[in-house]
Amino acid sequence: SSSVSPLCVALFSISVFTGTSQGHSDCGVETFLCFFKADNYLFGSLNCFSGDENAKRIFCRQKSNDGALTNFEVLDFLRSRGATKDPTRVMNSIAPSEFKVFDYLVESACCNQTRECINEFFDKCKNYKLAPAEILNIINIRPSSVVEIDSIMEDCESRFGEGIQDLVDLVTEVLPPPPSEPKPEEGMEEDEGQGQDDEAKQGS
Amino acid sequence: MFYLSLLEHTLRLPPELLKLSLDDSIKRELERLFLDKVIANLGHVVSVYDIKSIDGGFIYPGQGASTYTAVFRLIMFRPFKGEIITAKLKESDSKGLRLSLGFFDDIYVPAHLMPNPSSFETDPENPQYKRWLWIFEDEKYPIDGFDEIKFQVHNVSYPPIPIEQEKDSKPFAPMVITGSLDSDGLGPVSWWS
Repeated sequence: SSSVSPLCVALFSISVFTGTSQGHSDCGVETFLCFFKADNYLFGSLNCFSGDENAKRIFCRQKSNDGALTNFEVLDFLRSRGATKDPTRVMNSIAPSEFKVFDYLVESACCNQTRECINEFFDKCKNYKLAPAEILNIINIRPSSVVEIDSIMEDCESRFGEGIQDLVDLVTEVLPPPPSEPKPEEGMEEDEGQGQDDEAKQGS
Repeated sequence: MFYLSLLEHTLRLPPELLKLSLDDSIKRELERLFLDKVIANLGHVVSVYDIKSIDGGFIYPGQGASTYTAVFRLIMFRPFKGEIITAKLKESDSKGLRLSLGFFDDIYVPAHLMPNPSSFETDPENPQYKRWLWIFEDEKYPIDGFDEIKFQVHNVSYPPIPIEQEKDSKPFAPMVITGSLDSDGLGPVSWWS
């Protein structure tokens, strides 16, 4: 049943416009990185994968990609709807599946981030000429060493050479550390302790 | 990882939701329809972000509820190729690893995308369990479930819905992410700290 309803066709022809997906000021929502090129208004009738009889209806997508969101923005959205770390979870406004996303995000690097620091990072990394996907990856993962940032970038050596350490320093300076990262002095001792334990385990 | 998608859908509002305001009831109905479901090529629906417009409200002959056309945005979970994501180990067998994000479990790292060279061997301490080991410069690094694993998204596929399934086969996964560990900085976080 992939027939196209005339209503969808009419709406599609009206809604074709050539904007880039930057600056959604009309919706009153600030999205940071909506400069990914929009898949051009893919329009198709699909059935949602659901077992509900009523839902096997045609819906049409006006815009597949209305902007990318950083993990922080999704976390912020869920927090504004009322999600907390409270284990009793009495709030009705958030569905259990949304809580699972919240639990994942709150343990990742984005839980201490703020809009200001992301904006600041965005401004300061302009001279490095990073691709949008790389900036998004960096903000979501918050790499703290060169080896971590190497997996994100393409052609790291040829593009930056030694300057990659500056970028890592910029990241550690501007974006707050993830929740589980220990302080540097304690971290060194813990890591060395674990390293010795691991080697002892493998040796035995 | 997350994108916004703008969709338009015509839905029928069940009468038991009429006690709420129109916005709330449409939102509740959209959540019931879309939340935690997968839309092919758009991803896994996380949340209803906002509703841009609601039209209609007609009651068609023969139906007992009014029909509205809503234009709204959904937050979709749809990682792009090359994205690095941190996940926990769920299962590991000779074909590869299965990782989980809590809200999304169908992430597979097949054997050919494991760090090269690796092997799947018996754990010396627990002879009944086997796990993957990465052999690098004469050292063996195990992948056990203690810490989180960083992987790079290799591919996101949306297999078509099967007509029939065998009785005890794995439940159908409408969205499957294939990940790769074969690069610097990927694998368990403890390997690189």
